[in-house]
Amino acid sequence: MSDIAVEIIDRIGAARVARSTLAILGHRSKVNLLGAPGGQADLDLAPHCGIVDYRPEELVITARAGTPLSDITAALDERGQCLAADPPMFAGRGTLGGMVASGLSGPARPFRGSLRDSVLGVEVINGLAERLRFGGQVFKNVAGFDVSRLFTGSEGAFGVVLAASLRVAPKPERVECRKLTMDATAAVICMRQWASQSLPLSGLCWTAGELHWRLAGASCVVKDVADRLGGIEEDPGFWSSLRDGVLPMLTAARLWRHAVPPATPPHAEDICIDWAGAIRWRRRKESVDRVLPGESACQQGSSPLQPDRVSALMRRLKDAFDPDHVFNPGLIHADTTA
Amino acid sequence: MSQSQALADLKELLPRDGLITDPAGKRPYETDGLTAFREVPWAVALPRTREQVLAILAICRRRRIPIVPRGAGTGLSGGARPMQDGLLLSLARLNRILEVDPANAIARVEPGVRNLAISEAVAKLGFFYAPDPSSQIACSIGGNVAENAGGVHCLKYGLTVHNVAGLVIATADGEVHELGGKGWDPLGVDLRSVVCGSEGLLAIVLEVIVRLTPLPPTKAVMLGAFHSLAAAGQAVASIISGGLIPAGLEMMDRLAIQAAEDFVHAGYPVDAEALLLCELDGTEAEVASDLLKVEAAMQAEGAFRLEVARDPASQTRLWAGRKAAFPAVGRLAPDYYCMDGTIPRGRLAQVLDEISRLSDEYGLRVANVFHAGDGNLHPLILYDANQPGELAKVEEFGGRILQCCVAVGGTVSGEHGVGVEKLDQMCDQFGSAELEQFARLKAAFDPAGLLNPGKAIPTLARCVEVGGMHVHSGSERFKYLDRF
Repeated sequence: MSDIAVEIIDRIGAARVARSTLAILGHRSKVNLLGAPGGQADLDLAPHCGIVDYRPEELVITARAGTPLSDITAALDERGQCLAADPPMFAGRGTLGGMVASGLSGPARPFRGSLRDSVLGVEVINGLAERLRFGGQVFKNVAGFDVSRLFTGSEGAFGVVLAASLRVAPKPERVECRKLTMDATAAVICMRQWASQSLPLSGLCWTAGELHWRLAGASCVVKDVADRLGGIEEDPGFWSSLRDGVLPMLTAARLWRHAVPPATPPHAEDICIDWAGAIRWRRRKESVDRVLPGESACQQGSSPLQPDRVSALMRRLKDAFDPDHVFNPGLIHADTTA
Repeated sequence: MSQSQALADLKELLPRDGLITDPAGKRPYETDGLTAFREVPWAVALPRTREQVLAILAICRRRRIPIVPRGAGTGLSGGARPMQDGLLLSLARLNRILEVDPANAIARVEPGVRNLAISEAVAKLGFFYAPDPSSQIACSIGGNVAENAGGVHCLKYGLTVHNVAGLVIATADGEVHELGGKGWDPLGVDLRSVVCGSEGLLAIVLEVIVRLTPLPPTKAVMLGAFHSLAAAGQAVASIISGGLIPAGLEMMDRLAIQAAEDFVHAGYPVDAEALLLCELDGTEAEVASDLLKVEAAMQAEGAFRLEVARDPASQTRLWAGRKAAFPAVGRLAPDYYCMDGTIPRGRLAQVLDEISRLSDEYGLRVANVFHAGDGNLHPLILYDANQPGELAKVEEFGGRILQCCVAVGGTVSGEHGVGVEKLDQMCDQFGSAELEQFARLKAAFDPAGLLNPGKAIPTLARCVEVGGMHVHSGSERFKYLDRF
């Protein structure tokens, strides 16, 4: 537990005056996936750590940016709770700040909500070295623009997340994991059928000729539905490997992660279909430089591609929070001026 | 000069019935659901197409005419209050459901489509649109996006922001942006979430892709009656910390129970100090197992009466009292003022004690209805606007309740929005640096400040506007709507 907020603010203020740039870092656990942030000097958030407040009966936890995710999940586990969005922990590492800044959700996302959904409030430092609070610790809150969720997934382009409050979820009573042999086309149809029913799903993924499913919920329901869906039992480790990107097929070269409408028919290059169809891991021969509106794509180790039109607005937003472009230059696609 | 030029441009653009400039025709638009704030707009535009909306934006930009966007006008914080020198841009006629796509579990709709119309259109496919603000029969999806509307079922299913997959927006400079789409989350920065709840200050919503939720096969509603608010609050805490997220979890206090019972005869126990209504949904087995847990939690906290409604008719009866609580309380006094704060659930007893103390101090009665599951409190202050000075007293009382919500870690608005109503309370909740950051965020979307100026975010110079949801007997708008 340590609070070094004042020191962090001083460094940002000094960088701004010196017209230099900072790379915001935690455990560096997502550098392989998203690339390393640019910046003349590192701003290490890992020492700014500790759970500040945890109220199980309110379903809310607040912690500093550098708090290891493993500490957070351990604290939640002790009280029968969890992070609903099932965020990845690459190589078992990662911090709360990195999780919020990357905005990544795990395989449970289509069924249990996204990481962004669970962010209730943030304390941030903008490029003017101002310490600001947005949102709070309550679920229903419409006072002011929702800056907390704007920061979620912004990869540090707008500022430093100092601390965040997250809505947490009760841990399911029972989890059941099975798999069925199926080709990709049949699997997408099957996933969409199941996803459109009221079932206690917490994962639907196809890879290497098999459809994997995970159910999580009250024991009586899970057992009942499991028999209906069928398949052979498998180790729940499949799902944590998928979440953390360590399945063998997710370590291939030239791998792209595409976010698409979930019922999109499979592509010959799809090697893994997650989120009940909405995420396609593609091994591409050629690079992608453009995506359709409403879709996005990301090569392992680089920043996401988004439709071009949004970029001008994104640049103005960057200027609204970080006018001197102190933070993470070049990380966000839109930030071409830095 | 620029106004008359703008009028000429608008007349050329829009058909006769698409532009209202005569005083009698403009009158119905002078207020939204917050009737205390009235202003007759300069003109009302009623476009039918996206192209017309963009052309209107271009005219207003060229002639520097501010724009107040409006959906169905059911909002409760004055977000759609017109400006006398501004154009009221009604999006009500962009009301087509463009596409229902069951395979992707989404519907693509124009902003003027009514909230309930979406659920009605997709019910036969086994889906519903989950956010259900109390005005859902009339309110529009574009307005829901602007306010980030909630409802009784958002404890389990989330607010508008959690159920919007994609948006097409136009910024004031005429740029059209497609945010998100039919999938789940685009990678990188997500502008959907900052547009949701932006109260018409950032962009005009042209199209919404809403996420559809599979209809649950079974539902049950349980009523529990308690001898104290603290015991009912404890039961809520134990249901939630016990691992259940009910579809809905509502609380009423004695005055609200009695008023509702007198009004709709739902069969509520009028000797109770607090009443809980808990809705559970899912498969038969799930609902049965959850009912046992809720029953045990309520009994453990001393519930003296429990009732379970398993069939739709008795569920409707149990909900009827809660849904009619606002008009029911409205019968107890000439006027009432509705507050909308959210608090951490654990602070309920403390906040209700404070409200009761303030009620004695001001000599004004308060009925409390409460979205207990998510901490959203709606105290209804009873008063008589015809008594000199009483309105000012009520506004001060209301302001102190919201200050109390902020002091215990809550917020000044859970779901009704800031609008013009809570501008000064925003100054309690945010410091000047946050307010200035909000202003820069607004300017990134709308540098000329043409969209809904003066709403939602107070300027530092004037954190002074006050107001509230003032309902004078007989003059409540949309009184046929349930109010939660």
